[in-house]
Amino acid sequence: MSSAQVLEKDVKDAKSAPPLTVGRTFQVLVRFFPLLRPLWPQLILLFLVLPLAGSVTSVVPALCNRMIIDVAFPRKSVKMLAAFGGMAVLMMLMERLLSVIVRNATSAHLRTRVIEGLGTRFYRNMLGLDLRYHQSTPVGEKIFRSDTDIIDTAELLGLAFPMTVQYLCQFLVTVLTICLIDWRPMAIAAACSPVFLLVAQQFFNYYRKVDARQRVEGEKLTAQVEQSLANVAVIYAHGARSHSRFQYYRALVRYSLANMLYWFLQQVSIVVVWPSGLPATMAGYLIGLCGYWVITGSMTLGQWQAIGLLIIQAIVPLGILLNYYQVIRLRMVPAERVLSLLDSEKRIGERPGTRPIEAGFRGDIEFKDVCFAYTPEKPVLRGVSFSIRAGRRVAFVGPSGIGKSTILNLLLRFYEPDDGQILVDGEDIRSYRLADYRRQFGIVLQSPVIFERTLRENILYGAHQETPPDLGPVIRGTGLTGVVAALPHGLDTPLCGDGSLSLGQKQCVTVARCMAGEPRLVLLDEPTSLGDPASKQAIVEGIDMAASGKTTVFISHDLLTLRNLDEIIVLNEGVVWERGTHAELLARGGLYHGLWTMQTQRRVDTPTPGEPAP
Amino acid sequence: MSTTAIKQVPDSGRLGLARQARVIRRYAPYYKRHWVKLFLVFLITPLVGAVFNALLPVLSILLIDEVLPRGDYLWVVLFVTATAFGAVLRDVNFLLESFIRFNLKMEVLRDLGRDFYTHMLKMSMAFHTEHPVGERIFRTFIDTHDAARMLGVSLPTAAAMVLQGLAVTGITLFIDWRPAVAIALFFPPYVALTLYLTRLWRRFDRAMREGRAGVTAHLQETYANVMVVKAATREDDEAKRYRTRLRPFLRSFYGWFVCEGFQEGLVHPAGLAVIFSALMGFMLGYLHIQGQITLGQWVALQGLIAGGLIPLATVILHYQTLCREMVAAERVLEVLQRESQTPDPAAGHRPERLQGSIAFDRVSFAYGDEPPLLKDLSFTIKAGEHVAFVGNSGCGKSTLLHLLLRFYDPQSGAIRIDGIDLREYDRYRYRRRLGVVLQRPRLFPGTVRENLVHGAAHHTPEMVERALALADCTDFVHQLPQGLDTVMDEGGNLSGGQKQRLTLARALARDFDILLLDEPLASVDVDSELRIYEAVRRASGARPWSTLPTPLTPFATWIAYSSLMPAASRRAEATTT
Repeated sequence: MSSAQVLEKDVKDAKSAPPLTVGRTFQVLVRFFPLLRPLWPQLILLFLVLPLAGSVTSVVPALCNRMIIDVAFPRKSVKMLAAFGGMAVLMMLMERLLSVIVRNATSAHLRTRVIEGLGTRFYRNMLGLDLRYHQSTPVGEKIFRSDTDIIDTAELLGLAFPMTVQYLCQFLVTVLTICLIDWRPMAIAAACSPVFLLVAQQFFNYYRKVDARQRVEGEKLTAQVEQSLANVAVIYAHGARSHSRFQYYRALVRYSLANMLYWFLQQVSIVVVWPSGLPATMAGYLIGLCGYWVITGSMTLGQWQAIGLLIIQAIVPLGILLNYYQVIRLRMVPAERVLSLLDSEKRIGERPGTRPIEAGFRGDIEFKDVCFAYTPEKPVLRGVSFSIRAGRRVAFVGPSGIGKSTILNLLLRFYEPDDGQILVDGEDIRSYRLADYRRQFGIVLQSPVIFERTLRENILYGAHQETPPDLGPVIRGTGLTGVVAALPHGLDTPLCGDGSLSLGQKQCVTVARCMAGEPRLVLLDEPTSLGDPASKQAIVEGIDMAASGKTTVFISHDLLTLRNLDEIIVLNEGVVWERGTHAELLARGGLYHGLWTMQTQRRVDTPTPGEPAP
Repeated sequence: MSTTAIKQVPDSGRLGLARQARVIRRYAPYYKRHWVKLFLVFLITPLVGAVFNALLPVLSILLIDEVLPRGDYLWVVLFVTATAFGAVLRDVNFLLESFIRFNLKMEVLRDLGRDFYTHMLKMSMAFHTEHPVGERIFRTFIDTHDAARMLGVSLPTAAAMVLQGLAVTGITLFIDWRPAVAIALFFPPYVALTLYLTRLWRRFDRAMREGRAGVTAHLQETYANVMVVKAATREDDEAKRYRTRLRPFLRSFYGWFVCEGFQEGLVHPAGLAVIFSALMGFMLGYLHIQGQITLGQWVALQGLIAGGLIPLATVILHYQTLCREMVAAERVLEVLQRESQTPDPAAGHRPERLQGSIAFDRVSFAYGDEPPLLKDLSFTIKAGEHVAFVGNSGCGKSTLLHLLLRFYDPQSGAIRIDGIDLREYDRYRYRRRLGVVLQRPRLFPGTVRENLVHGAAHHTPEMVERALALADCTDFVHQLPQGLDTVMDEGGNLSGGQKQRLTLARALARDFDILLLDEPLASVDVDSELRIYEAVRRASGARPWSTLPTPLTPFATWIAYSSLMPAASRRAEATTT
């Protein structure tokens, strides 16, 4: 699936996301509960203590105000004024301290723990997903999911839910207090609110769609920047700057339009549903109406003042609640996306009853009628069978795109065969513990991968021994002695980007990595094709050392390098076409013979020199 | 791990009007084009807003004090209607203002984003290799976005708030001067607290951005190389490493939100300003008990104190937001101000075609602080010659190619193409005259066709087909489900050899004068290699071209064995000195 298709799918996901229901919210909470359980002190604080304390402290000042007007002033009591006034100010301070400062710190702490725990688990799961997922998903999108989605999920759990509880509590306590003072204003407010809620609901439905769209445009923009910055050398080399700039600009314009609409709607929401908007106007009329009761004498001036303050106080959480309702609804999408990835079936996982690999592991390989296709319409292997005895060195040969690398991918269990069986040491490879199994392999790929870490960390990347092996022989064996000596901090020099080593040297490092891992099986995918003669020599020598006595599977186009191997398997049209030693295959006069003749002829004949053009 | 090496302005979190003014002045060009919008959001809409915000309370005071006692219902209805109308106008003004602000932000983001991206692509390759992709993405995407928000939204908002705050406070004080005492008492410590908090917050903000860039960089590296991670069964170690890289980010994340708590709790107008107003109100209650003011006056004074304090506190709040967002603006400037190490000439030489002669004249080059790779290298290649470079790994063959592409400039000496110094050329015009295959096959996600014509200004279907045929791609491309319009994913549907042939086709699809090949056929199988070689050789007869294939690929071998063998080996010796 292309990145565009994935993103299209996301838009649909966001649009078709079912409306927020208690059941769905509850489900998400239950799923995340194991993660939150160790954080129970914070949870109690956020969901119980702070909401209650915040609600009480928020209604007391208004009541104090009422007492000042109704009791202290008529009695001309300075003491009571000081007591009630002091109490009100103290409570206001407490309210700010508890409901804002402590709440924010607790919530932030909870969120950091969630991001750390969930983020790490999510990332680990991502790495565990099978290669099919990784190769069909742009890196930018994976980054977005691991970064933004996790932070959003943490916001849902650590901020949106507690805030909702807190303001719901505050709203209820305030309404209750107003009713205790006088029930009439609340009855009128309750009668008016459905209209308001309906308007708000409709508004936010639209708002949510716009938000989903601006996120998708954001993802597209990130993906665009990622792919062009990662391949900046190609853009430079083609003088394609303006082309790349145009693509970026187009993505940017689309994103900025979506983003502008989103922010504008947020402003509209301030005028319409936020306390400063429609509700405040309604409250103003309500307070005015209460003024009528004061004139007719059915309400005291103090009560009127207190109700006035409390109605405003009830509206503030109402607006915030409405907003958080939407935040929860929006953040549910990433949260559920995170959950679905966490229990994704795409992961080539452990099956029950897998067993660890013991010391006597030999490394016999057998393929039994293995069929495999990356996409259903294009089968790659259609029933491949062969066996390789432990310690033998075997090469796969055949036209490009025929499935040579696929055999390595299957052997490493990056993919599972669609049909047939792969046996190692006579057992189905799925019966081994995956990590144990993969550690039996050392690989060298055509294009070396170097991490932005020290040279030592790079070489030890595949080593899982208790005590790290002595790197001396490894370095000498791969001809890296000179390279290490030239680096400013030797083995502990951080390697960065493309700069510090040449491609041939990088390949030597990956051979060293393969050697340091002390594998039982060595898989080589065109390891020498990018090197120059000198480094090729070093690579070949290194490989000889690394692979001595081990089962070795070799893929190469250069038939000359394969002559001395124990067996050559020729693949064609999805099956094993021919197999045998170099001499046997030549004698047979089949496909291999043709390939060999073509390659050797070209090397022996001196071609006509390319004439300089006129 | 070499992390964020972009030279940073040492930041203590300290603010200064001078520094802010400097930053804003640097951004002034992005404002210039939008002077109508600027005029509107900095002057007109804030003024209208200020007038309404100040007028509406005056209307209610008049209603209570003057109109209601008269008992004339017509006047009451008139006043109430006027008030309601005023409120609607105020809101319309607010929405209009928001719309213009976000529109401004969007326009600035487009311009800034484009300039930033262009500037990134103008930097020498050294810049790109120094900084992990993740970090460059973060700067390109999030920092420019925040900087644009500062210019388009926060700055006008702050300006509007200053105007409105002054207007409302002014009117309040005009009605009664006494709240001025409260304001004078309140503001000095309040401003000091705010500034301290802002400084702290800015520091966390910067640390958080850097932390997040580091986390993104880690994600990028491992996701891009997930195959190696899996093969080495390093998933658990990478997850552990990820956790340690999350920590600094999370520390600053926590600090950021604690700061936000103090901000919301105290600095926000609903915090200290309201509490202080209440305190002053209760203290004034003493005057009422003493009989110096009536109950009505007491209620009015309470409202007035709040009315004087809160708008001013809002101004400070917005100033603070502005300061925080300036972190992003400064990070953007750090890149924009960094000069490219391969600067463009004022008026570059823009040839229609190149002859294709190449001369290296005592060229010396080293990457960064490393020991020099090329020392006084001199050679010439005549137009139309086919030349191979051979030598040990790491001796600088690919570097020669990078210098010819002007990814880097030599530290001394000169490279001349057609007798003209490479630095005199318009870089993009020059590069467009080259056909290039870089060492590793790199294709973009997209269709096969998009990849083939990547960056080629003029191309015809015939040119594409011809290039496909030359690079022996015709067969497999036409076997793909949608042919040329098949979307390539990040690795799945094409083999390594096929990808490499496509990169060669991409180079040949262009109308080039010089062909530079760095191991072009390294992973191509034997029979197609032979076909490609024949085809390219045939094509070479048609027009002048120089090849500079680097090490001994079979393709290059042939060239080295042919008439240029002595020359090639001589140069190889020169290269390895």
